[in-house]
Amino acid sequence: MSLSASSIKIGDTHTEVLVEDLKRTQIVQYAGASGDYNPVHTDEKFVTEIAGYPTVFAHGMLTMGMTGRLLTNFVGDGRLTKYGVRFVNQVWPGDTLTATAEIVDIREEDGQRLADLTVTTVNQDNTAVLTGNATARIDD
Amino acid sequence: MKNAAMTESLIPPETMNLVGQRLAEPVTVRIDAREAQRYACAVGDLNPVYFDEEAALSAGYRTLAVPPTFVSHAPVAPRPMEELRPDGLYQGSDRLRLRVDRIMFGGEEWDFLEPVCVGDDITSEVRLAALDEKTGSKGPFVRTVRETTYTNQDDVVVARSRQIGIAR
Repeated sequence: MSLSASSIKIGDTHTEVLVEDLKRTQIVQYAGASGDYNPVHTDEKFVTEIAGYPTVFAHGMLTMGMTGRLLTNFVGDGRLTKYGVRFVNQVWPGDTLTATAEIVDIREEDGQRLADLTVTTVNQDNTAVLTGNATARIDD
Repeated sequence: MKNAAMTESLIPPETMNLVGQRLAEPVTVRIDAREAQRYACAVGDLNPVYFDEEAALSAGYRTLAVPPTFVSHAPVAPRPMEELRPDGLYQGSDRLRLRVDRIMFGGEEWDFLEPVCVGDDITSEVRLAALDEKTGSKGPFVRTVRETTYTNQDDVVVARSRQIGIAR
């Protein structure tokens, strides 16, 4: 599946629930898969008593990876050319995350049709945890 | 800025000299299906092109594809507990030294240039792209930008990532 310029327009959006009730185990699973063992993500005692946070929080890159799934589902496999994010708030165990991508421009560069998108991931309180933008190759 | 001369910079001079320099030796790794699938499961991305060779071929890939952002994790070598620093990163993994207590990921930007598939040999090389000392509402901080270039076995640059760190 891929997008074509004739079938999309500026303002089109795509929304997916990325995760419901984020489990601590998924954060551990991500730590193992990524090799990022920073204890702020996994060690309750360390994070509350030493680092001074209310509890452990997810790796920003976990949210980025989950949000990347929304983008590839929307624009198609192998179509993403740029993807940039800022981590604007922490993601905690129990959070439900929903991401929305919006087409903000459809243009041509070096003979290639491209769509520019913004992407925002929010938690169950509708607070943004990730904001970003992306560019994808599309068909005519 | 009136006290600038009296306040010690968060950036030691030897660290400032690293801008533009390589932060570690390049690492080459073969992209492994199991590792990529472990990552895909961890981020909840069960796209068949990462798990089913036929699905990957019919989508136009040479073989199994990998999630785009997996490429930054592939070069991370397994290391024993004794080599973990208190912040969970590996000792000697980085030459960047700052006079700060903690570094948080502020964000990341990617350019995906060519597909990466299982069996590719990917070389990652990380450079310090930028280092800026700024003052925010919570006091001074340093913004670090590490740029990693990923090159495949055919010497084709397949991706670039810029990792933005906020150190204070």
